[in-house]
Amino acid sequence: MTEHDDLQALDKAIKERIAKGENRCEQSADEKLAAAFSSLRQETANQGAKINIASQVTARVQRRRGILVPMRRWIPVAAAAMAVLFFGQQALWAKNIKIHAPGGAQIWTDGGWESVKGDLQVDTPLRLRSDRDPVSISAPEWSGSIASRSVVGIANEKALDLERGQIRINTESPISLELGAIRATVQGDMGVGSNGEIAMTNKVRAMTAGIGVVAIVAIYSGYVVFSGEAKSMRIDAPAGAIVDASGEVKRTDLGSAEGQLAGSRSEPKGVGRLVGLTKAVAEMEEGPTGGFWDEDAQTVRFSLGGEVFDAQTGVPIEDFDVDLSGLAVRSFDAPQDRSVHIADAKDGQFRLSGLGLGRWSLLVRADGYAPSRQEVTLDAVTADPYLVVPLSQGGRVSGTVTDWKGKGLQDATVILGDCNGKGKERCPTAKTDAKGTFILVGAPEERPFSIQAHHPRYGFADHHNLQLGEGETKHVTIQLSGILKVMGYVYQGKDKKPVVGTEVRGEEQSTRTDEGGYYEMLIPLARHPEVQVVTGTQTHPVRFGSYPKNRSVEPIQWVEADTHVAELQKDFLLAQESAVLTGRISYANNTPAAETKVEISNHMGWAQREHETFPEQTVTDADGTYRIEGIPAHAGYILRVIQGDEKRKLGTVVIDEPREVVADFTIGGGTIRGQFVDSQSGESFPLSQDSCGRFGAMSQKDDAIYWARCLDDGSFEFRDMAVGAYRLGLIGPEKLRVDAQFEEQVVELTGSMLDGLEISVKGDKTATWTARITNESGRFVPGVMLRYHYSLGGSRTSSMDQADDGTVKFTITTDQTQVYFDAPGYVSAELDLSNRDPSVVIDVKLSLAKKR
Amino acid sequence: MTVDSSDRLDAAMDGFKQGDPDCFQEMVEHHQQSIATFCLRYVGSADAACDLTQEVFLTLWRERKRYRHRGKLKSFLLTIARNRCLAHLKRERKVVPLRPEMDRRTAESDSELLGRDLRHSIHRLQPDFAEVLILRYLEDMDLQEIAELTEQPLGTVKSRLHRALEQLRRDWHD
Repeated sequence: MTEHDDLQALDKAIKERIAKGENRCEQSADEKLAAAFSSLRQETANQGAKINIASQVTARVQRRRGILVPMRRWIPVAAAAMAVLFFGQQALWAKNIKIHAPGGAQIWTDGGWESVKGDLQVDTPLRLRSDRDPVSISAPEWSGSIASRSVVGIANEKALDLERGQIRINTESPISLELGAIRATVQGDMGVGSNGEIAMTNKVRAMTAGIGVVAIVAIYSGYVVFSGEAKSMRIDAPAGAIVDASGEVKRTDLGSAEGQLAGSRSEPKGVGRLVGLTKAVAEMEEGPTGGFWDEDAQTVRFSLGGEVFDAQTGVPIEDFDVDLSGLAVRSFDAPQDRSVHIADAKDGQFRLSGLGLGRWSLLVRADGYAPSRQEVTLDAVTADPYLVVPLSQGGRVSGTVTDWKGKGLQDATVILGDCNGKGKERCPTAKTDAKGTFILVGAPEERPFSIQAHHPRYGFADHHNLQLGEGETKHVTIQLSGILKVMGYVYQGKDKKPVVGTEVRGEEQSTRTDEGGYYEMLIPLARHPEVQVVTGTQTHPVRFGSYPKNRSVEPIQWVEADTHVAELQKDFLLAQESAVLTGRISYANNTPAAETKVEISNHMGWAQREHETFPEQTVTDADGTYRIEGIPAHAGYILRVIQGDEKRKLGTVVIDEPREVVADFTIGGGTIRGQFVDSQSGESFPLSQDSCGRFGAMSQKDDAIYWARCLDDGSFEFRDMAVGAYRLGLIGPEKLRVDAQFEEQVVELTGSMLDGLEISVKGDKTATWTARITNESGRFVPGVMLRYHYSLGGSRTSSMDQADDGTVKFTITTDQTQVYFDAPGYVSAELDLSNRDPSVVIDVKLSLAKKR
Repeated sequence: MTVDSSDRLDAAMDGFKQGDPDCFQEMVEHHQQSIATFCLRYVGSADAACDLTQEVFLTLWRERKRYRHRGKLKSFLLTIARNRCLAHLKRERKVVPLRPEMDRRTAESDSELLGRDLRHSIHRLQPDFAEVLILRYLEDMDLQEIAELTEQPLGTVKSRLHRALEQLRRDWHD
C-alpha cells in the first residue's frame, strides 16, 4: 500500500467514525485520531448550539433603518460641562462596585471573562457583562442595571479627580440608570457623566434624562455632544431631521433648522432632541476652552488657555515659551511632551489645544523672568482650565567660576538648571567677565534650583540645591575641574631616535618637544582628547584611545582630588622618515628612456604610513633619470612606465631606510628563466600562488627588485631585466609566512636571456587547478581574482591569467580546499576543492551582484 | 430538510431580499447554529464566535440586494464567515484556529481529553493545513466545497489535506 492510499484510508476512517458519532478510543493511533475528530466535532457543535443571536441581529438590523450619519463636528461646550470621557474598550476603573446578578454575569478580569452569580462587591478594573437576566449594579453615588448581553465599564479613578463615578455603556438593549437625580434610559455605546452632562459617541441610539435637561436622540455612527452651557446649536439636515428644543418638535424635511439650546449649569433648561433620518450635521458654538472631539484621533482632546504677565507690574508678557510635560495623561495617543514658543501673545494670552486627558505640568519661561511651573488637570469636571501665570523677575545669583587652582575663568557660561530640552536659550544665562564673576538674574524664588557652569576648555560643573527667599541674592563659587595633562615622547625610526623641537598641538595651544623628545601640556578634559604631532606640513594624530591597551581612555576617572588634573601619557613614534628614490630608465640597447612618464604606486607599507598620495607620477629627464624626494621609507613600491595608453611594469623597490635609494630599470630588457625542483625528489615543483608572490630577483648593484612569473609546470620567468647580477630568493621580511623555502642563488644576466636555472624548493605539496570561470550566460568575466585563506590566518588575493574562454590555472598548496573567485559586479563564488580531481576542468558560474 | 421547510425558506429568502426583518429573522434562526459553530471552530472562543456570527448576518442583510439565488445560501454565509474569522484572527494577531484555552473549563472525560489533544495538534499545524482539516472533518465539507470556499485549486486542497493528515498522524504516532 502506498503512503497515499494509506492516508486516504485514514481520511475514510475519520469520516466513518464521525458519521457513526463514536468517540471511543481504540488501540491504533489512526483509530484514536478518528475518535478524537468525532469528539471534537461533537463538542464544538454543542457549544455552537448555545449561541442564539437571532433577536440581537434583528434588533440591530431594525435599528439600522434610517441610518443617520454624522454630525460633522462635535464641538463645543464649555470645558466645565464636560463630564464625559471616552475610554478604550478595556481599561476602566472603579471602587466599591456592588453587583447583584441573580441570573449570572461575567466580569472581565485579566485577559478573560469570569462567570459570577449572585451578590458580590468588586474593585477596579471592571467590565461587566450580563448573561441572561438583567444585572443591577451600584457604586457610591449611582446605581443602574444592565440588560441581557450588555457590557458596562465603570470608571472612578482618583487621577481624574472625579468625586462620582463615570460609566461607559455598550449595550444592545436599553438600560435604565439612576445617576444622582438623573434617571436615564440609554441604549447604544456612550459615556454618561455623573453630573448629568452627557456626550455620546457613535452608535448612540436613544437617550433621555429625567429632569428634562437633556434629551438627544441620535444617531447610529454619529455623535452629539450636549451641554448645559452650549449657547446655540445649528442643525443642518438636508434630508430631514427632527429637532426637539424646549419640548417642541420641529420637523425639517429639507434644508436646515436652528434650535436654541440655551441654559447654564445652574439653571438647566436647554433641551435638544435630534432624530436624523439620513444625514444630519450639527454645529455648536465653541466655548472658551474645553474638550473637543478629534476626528483624526477618534478621542477627546482638551484645550487649555491662560495668560502670562509680569508679577510686579501686571503688564502682559507677549513673548514666552511654554513647556508641557504630561504627568499622568490618559489619552492613548496624545503627545506627551512638547514645547511651544509664543510670540506676540495678545494681552499675554495663550491657548494650547490637542491635549490629552490627565495631569500636565507647564513650565512658562520668558526673557528676564524666573521660570514658573504649574500643574493642571484636564478632565471633565475641572472648571474652565484657564491658567493665570504671573512671572516674577526672580532672584539673583552672583558668583565666580574658577579653574581648579581657584583662578577666575573668563567666558564661562552660567545657566539656570531646570531648563533642559528645547528653548534652552530662554533659560536665564550669564557669562563670566575677565575675573570670572557673573550675575544670573531670573532665578526662581522660594523653591530649590540648580545652576550649571560651562567653559569650553575647563569642562562643566553643577551647583545644586540653591534656594532664594524673596528678593534675596546669593553668592556662589563654581570650580571647574576638567583639565587633562598629556605627556609623552616623540620618536622617529626603528631605533627610536628622539625627535627634538617638533610641534605638538593640543586644543587651542601647542608646545614643542625638548631635546629628549619629551612633551607635556594641559588640555581640556575630554573623552577623546585631541593632540597632534606636526612634522613639516603633516599632522599626525596621537590616538590615546589605544593607550593603555587594557583601559580605554576615560581620563575623567583618573582625576586626582587635590590637583584636579588627569594625566595621560602617550609616546609617539613618527611613522615614516622620508627617503629619496631615484634611478635610470633605459631601453635594452642602453639608450635612455627620456621624457618618459613613471608611475609609482605603493604596495607594501611595513611602516604603516597612510599613502594617500599614491600612485604618484614623475617624468624622466633627457638622461632617463627619475627622482622622487620625500617618499616615505619603510615601504615597498611598484614602478611602471606609461607610454601612450600602455602601462608597463618595470619592477619594484623596497625602501627600508630613510636614504637615497637607487633603482635602474630597463624597458624590454632581458629574461631569466628556470625551474623549481623539489629538494628531495628532484622533480619539478610548481610553486603556489602565495610562494610565487614572494620569490624575486634582487639587483646586486642597486635596489631594484623583480618579481617572478610562475607557471604551472614548475618553471619561472623574470622579464624586462637590466643587465647585471641578481640574487634570486625570498623577498620581503622573513617573518611574513610563506609556504615554501627556496634555495638562494646569485646569477648574472649578461645578454638578453639566461635560461636553465634550477631552484631547489622545500615546501608543502601543491596542486594546479584549472577552472573555467564565466557568467551565468557563459560569457567571459573580466578581472577575476583568486582568494583563499592562509592556513595560519589571513587571506590572500591574487590575479590570474584568464584565457578568452575564461579558463584560468592556479597553483596552491594541497591543504587549501576552499577558494573564492571575486570579480567586480559579481557575487563571490565559493569553490570547495576537496574530493576534486585537479585534472578535471572545474566550471564556475558567477552570478551578477544585485543592485541595491 | 423537508420540502415544507425548504419552501418556507425560499419564501423567507424572497421576503428578506425585499427588506422584511421578520423573514430575515427566520433566515438567521435557520442558519445561525451552523455559522456559529463554524466560527467557533475557527476562532475558538464562544464570545468571538457570537460576535462574528452577528457580523455575518448583518453583512448578509446589507448585501441582500447583491445576493443572487445561485448556489447554496449556506456556502455564501460560510464564505462571509470565513473572511470574518480570518479578519478577526488577524486583528487578534493570532492565526491560530481552535485555541487550546478553549478547554479550560471543560470536564475531562476521556473523549473530551481526546478532543483536547486533537485541538492541540491542530493548533500546531500551519494555518492552511489546520483550516482544511476543520472544514473537512468538523464542517463535513467535501473537497470540492473546500476548494470553492477557500478559493484554492482542488489539487492544492487535496495536497494540503494529505500533508495535514500526514503531520497529524506523525504527531499521534509518537
